[in-house]
Amino acid sequence: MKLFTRYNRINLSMMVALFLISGVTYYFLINYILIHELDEALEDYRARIESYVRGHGELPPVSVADETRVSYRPTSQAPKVLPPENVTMRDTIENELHKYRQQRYIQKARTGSYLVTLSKPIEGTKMLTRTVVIITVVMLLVVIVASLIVNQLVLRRLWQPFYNALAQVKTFKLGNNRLPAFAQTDIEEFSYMNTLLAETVGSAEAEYQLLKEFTENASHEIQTPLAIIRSKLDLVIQEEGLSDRQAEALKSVYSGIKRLTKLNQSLLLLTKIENRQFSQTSRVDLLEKVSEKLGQFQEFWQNNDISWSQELNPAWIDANPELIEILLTNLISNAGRHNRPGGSIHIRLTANELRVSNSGSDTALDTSRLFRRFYKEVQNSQHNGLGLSIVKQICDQLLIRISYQYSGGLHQFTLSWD
Amino acid sequence: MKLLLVEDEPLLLEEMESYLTEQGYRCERATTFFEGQEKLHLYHYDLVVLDITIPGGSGLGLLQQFKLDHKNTGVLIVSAKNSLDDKVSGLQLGADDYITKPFHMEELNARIFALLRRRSFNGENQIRIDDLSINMAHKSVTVAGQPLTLTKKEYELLLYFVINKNRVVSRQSIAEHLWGDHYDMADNYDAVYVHTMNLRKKIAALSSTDYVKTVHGMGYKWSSQ
Repeated sequence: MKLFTRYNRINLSMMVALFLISGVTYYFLINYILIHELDEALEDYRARIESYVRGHGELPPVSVADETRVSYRPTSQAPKVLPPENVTMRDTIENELHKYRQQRYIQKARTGSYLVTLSKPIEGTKMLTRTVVIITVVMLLVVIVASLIVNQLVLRRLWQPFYNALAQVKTFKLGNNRLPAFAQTDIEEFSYMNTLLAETVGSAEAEYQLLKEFTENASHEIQTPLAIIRSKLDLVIQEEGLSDRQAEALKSVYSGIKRLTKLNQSLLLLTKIENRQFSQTSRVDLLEKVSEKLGQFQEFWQNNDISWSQELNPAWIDANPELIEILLTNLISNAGRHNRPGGSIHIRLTANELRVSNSGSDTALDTSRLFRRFYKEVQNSQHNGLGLSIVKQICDQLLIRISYQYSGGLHQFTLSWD
Repeated sequence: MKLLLVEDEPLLLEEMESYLTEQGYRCERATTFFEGQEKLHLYHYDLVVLDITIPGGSGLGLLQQFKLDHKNTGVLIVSAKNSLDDKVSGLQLGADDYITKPFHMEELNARIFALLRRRSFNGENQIRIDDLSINMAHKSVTVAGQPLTLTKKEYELLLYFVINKNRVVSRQSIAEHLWGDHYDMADNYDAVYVHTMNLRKKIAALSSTDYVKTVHGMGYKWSSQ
């Protein structure tokens, strides 16, 4: 739920509740006041009758034109004033039922005691009450609508820095070395938030750069000792009369060094791709490149009893030639490397797609971890598990989509581009 | 041939010097930028093996300086950074070749050999070793006067053996020389084996001697008689 919606919901229900309460209160309040007024008017009327009786000794004549209806009825009761009440009476002229406020009291005159009934119609006051209530309601509605609109506009504007910051953070990608620029704002909270965000993002980026630099430096530093080990090894095997056991041990050392070297180079390569050190692009003839690669690998496939077929059509891509070279080498060498004797490789190149399919293990690869660094199908594998993550990294950088499928016993990697 | 080795890692320098001297080069060493600068200023060398990361400055800076007045000196850049940028700027500054650490001494030797041959314009295109004669211009080989037909890989392999004669060349070194770094397949030693066997058979058919010896099952050696 959006903050606005949430806020408006709360705001609106509060306003409705407030409006209901105040409407009802208004109604009763105004009603009470008007009734009170009527009562006072009736009281006044009574006072005038009393004073008339005092002066003339008899009750004043009833005027028909008067709004206040007056009637006298002889009674034997002692003088008293009854509390005012609401009554419904039939209007003699319109012949309709109307509400009246009635005041009854016993008036002593010379001719005896009378029950005086004074009635004033409530209808008029009712109209007034209604009008007042309607005006109140309309006013309240206007206030609600106005506040909603204002909220919408003002809140949106007030929250703008927040949305700006969100947009900035959204485009931020760790390792790009491009820090998001948060716009200045004079709202304290947002400015605080922006400062915090900038600090967090900045330090994350700095940490990341440090880590990357570390990988890079470590890899570079490893190169020289590796070179020394290698050259000394080459020197050791010059010795005549090495025993078989020594020779076996040296073979293992060679293979270890080889793996370490390869691992180191792959890590360096990954770092370089991440650092976008391969940014120059040119139009690459994929048909030519793929054919060239196939030519290079055929010898190995032959030796390993792997058959291959190809279906190559002209294709071009705008990309860094070196990256394409690495990409193709990795993909195509994988197809042979993870194959089995008697297996097959099929390569299909069309204008916007390259598909490399090969036989190999009998189960699909774990797609969730396939492109991760150091993913290996078999843990004790001789390979460092960086090949596919290099492929993925290159694809990401060149905006090439890559997908993996296992069907019909074939592992298929499909690259597609626009 | 006089070589200057600019390298700050003593063990590596020692190894390079020892092997290259064995190969008949006169080697001098420099371990810092300034030492390199001084030597290059004072003496003439046919070739400089130049490490990019040396104390006191960059090998590229050194290259830039001396290339201005020593156009005839060949330059082989050695770098721990397998970076295209370094490679490109090195070659643009006048370096002739580029080799990445870690490398095999035989590879360094082969590169130096090729580089020196390229640089001397009327260079010696003929190698004579034992009863073999290799014409590098035509990439043709004769054994005891009879032509030897080799595949491209076999020819490269033969040249690698001959350039590094009397030294055990590891299978790894051969594989990297023939197929480059990319082919790290576990089985490419089999390919080395197959090519070596074929080469030996072809030479043996024409010559009485098998010059290539298998050593400890991990390398081969061209034993010159």
